[in-house]
Amino acid sequence: MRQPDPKNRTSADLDQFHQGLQIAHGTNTCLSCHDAGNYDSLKLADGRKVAFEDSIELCSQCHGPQRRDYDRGAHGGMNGYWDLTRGGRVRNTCIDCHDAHVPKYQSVHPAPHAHDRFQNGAAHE
Amino acid sequence: MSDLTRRTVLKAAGATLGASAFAAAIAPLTQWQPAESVDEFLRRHYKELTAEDLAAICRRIEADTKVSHGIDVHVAAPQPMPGVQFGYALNLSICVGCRRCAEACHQENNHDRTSHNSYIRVFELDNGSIDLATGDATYDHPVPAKGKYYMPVQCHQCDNAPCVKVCPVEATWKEQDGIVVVDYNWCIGCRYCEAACPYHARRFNWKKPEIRPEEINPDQGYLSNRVRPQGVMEKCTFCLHRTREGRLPACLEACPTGARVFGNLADPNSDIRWVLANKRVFILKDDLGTKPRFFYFFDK
Amino acid sequence: MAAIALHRPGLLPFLRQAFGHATDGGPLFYAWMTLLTCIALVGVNAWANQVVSGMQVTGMGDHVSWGLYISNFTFFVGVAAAAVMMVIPAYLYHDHEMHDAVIVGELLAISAIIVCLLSVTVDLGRPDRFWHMMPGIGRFNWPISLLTWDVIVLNGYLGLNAWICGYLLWSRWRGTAPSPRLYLPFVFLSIIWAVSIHTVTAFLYCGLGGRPFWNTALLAPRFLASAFVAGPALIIVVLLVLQRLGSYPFGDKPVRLLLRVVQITALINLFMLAVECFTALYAGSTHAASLRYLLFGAHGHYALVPWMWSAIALNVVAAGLFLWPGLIRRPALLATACLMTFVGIWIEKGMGLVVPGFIPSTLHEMVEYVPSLTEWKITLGIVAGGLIIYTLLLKIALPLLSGWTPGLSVGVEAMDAQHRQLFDRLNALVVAIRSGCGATELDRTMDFLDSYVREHFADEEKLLTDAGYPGLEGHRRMHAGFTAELESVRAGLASPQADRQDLAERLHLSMRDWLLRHIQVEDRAYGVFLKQRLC
Repeated sequence: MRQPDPKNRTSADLDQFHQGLQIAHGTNTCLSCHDAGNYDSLKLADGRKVAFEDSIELCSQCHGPQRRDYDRGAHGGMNGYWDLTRGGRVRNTCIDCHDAHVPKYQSVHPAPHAHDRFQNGAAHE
Repeated sequence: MSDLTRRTVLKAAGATLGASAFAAAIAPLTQWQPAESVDEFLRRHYKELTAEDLAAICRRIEADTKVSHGIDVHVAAPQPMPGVQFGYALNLSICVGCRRCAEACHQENNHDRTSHNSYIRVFELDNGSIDLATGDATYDHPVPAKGKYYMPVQCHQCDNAPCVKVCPVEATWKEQDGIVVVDYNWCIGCRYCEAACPYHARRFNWKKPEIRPEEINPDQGYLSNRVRPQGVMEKCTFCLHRTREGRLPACLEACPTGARVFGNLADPNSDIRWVLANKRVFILKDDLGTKPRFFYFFDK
Repeated sequence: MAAIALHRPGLLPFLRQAFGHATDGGPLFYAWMTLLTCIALVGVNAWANQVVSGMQVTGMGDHVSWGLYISNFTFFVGVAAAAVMMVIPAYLYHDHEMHDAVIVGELLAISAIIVCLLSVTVDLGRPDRFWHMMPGIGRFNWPISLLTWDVIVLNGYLGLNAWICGYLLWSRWRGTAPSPRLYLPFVFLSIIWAVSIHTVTAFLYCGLGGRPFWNTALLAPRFLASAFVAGPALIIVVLLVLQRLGSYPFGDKPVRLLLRVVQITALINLFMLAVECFTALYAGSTHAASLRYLLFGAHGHYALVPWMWSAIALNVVAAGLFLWPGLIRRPALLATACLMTFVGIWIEKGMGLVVPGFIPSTLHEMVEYVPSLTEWKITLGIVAGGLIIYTLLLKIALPLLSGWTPGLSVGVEAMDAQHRQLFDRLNALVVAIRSGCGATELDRTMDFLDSYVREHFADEEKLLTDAGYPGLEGHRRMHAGFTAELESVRAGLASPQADRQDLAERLHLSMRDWLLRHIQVEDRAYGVFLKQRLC
């Protein structure tokens, strides 16, 4: 098995797998987040391992304000209860909405707008 | 004398002709069914109904809906929760203008399908300006667009609500938990509230709302999302049929980015209180003194 | 001995006669009423359809949520309020000639208020829930909602004017002098009340902080100024039409007075509009968005621009014409100027004031408004209904004011018939003088009256002589006085230097009033005497 090469910075440097993978995430390289010793794990800057399902801890290293907002319910979609004594919430985490490699929020087509009477030359009934 | 008789006969003929023409003119009214029953026509104002009255009315609406639409719905009249003051804040820094909130409102609140009505209008504004005059609520292109930001506007549930003040029959009022509601069975449809509201939050039922039975949301509130009659006002109720049971409003659940923060203003540990204390919050048309329960904020 | 009195007719015959007066007329009257009825019925039919289909048949929407109905309502509140322009001189300054003409204004107020109430009713999404507003059985949000204030002041104004007109006409019919206690306080109240109806209606709009176009303290003064243009202008037209139809011998005086009013108010109204425009436009704030849209269009929307400039043009031209001294001598031009300003203000108050308050919307969206066919039908139907009511009220009131009424009966049928003729011939002469007809025609009418007066006086005096009436001598002297007065009028008419209008006024006011009082007092006195003798 080949050893990870820390000199590989983007997918363009690769000769196998993940070729063509888009990466647009600041100056991060693969091994900024992926653990060189164990591909099934992520790692924090100090080397501690992080499971994939806890990726939010990894993101939070740089995105502190977002993490703070997330913790206060001010960032990230959710379902459930505002009154936590009555029920819980299902929270999205970072990667539900942001692709870790291209984290910029992708554009979407908006849901239809209301067809208000007579707006934008709508026909008079 | 004969002239007098002739005149009388002519007058009588004219009167008969006039009366029958009047009857013909007014004939379309025979097709009018303003109320399902005499009982509904004579229904008292919401605040004069006892809990038993209200329960009986809800059961009757369920039965009527079964007959009219062939579906089972559940109509409840949840009361304000003690110690709860609802508030809502919206993060303009992360709203992407996808209109999922407006769409969720459309479905949750059993809006008229033909007009695709919603209590939320999302404005696309130019970066660098907060002048709504440059805004557009009917954009139809991928969002977020370059150089734009988005501002959803819905009922601000004002503490000093102009709509409540102007209503001549008290058909709209502010509940204990801060939600401004409409009694659909008391509103006379004068639309003075619609003229008074600075936030374009009120909608009128210009016709009987059209919605296919299978699309009707069966989880209904008497003061919120039950199917409205023709000719009355309606408005956002912060989904009181959900929120008074502790649940989040439909628009918040639909928001993919988490731009919406809802909660109890009376709870100092609530998320909404944290936002108000820590974010750059502003109130739309603050100068009007309407004291809204709806806030906008920016991250940076 | 029980006091013997002449019979005073009751309410039922009064209503019967009123009904008769209201439904009798010539071909022109029937044609006019048929036309109005047809228009009103088209309106009724359109409204019935609107009730069934919902307000979707209008041109309104959630952006412009009030349209033609509320515009028309607002305008006619002003017309109703303007009735005071006649009341003030008549009662405050005891201007005698205005007394009769004032009823024309007050009846207009009644009709205009009915137009207002109907206009609001057709704007309701749920007219079947009208009772929700009734104090007691409904929930009346008074004093918080300005709309409840409007309900009170409009109905109160309707009641006040109905009472004043009804009581005065009823007294006249009964032949009794109206008791000032029973109507004067209401007259003074109605003057204040007239100001209140338009002030409250302005407050409906200017109390809304979210609509900067309306949210100005100048709105109530502007409403009053424009009301005092449109209302008197309409009354001038009505008086001119009545003069032309010869329905009632009005003099020029009420028209002159009302013209003096509109000369000033038309200028004040234009001034206030200019002030409003300056304040909003010079500062250039976004609060002027509606005004800019109204005057110049905005963001490619221009629907109201032609309306508003038409209104300004009509009002400016009319204001100029009012200032021209020759206008009073040209009734057709005067009526045209009045109608111009009437239409101008109708636009200014409706399409130029109610509608632009909604454009742009509170969230600055540009959605325009064009009234639908249904709205036009209903609005015209309501106006036609108001005209029907006004026509009928005038038909009832005018003969009562100028002619013989059963309340003047002296109990002798022959004398009653002659009295009735006297009034009719006197009125005919007044109309003849005022309509400026030729010398021959005038002579004929004069002879017609003169010979009849002598004949009647002779008959009456013979009757009293035969009956041995003790007050005969005094009575005869009174008759002689009247005949002498008539002689001097005849002499005046013959002289080319005499002021004919002045002569008409003498006939119309002092001589007719003398006749009225003479029958009420002296003739009825012999009536009682004759009745006693029979017993």
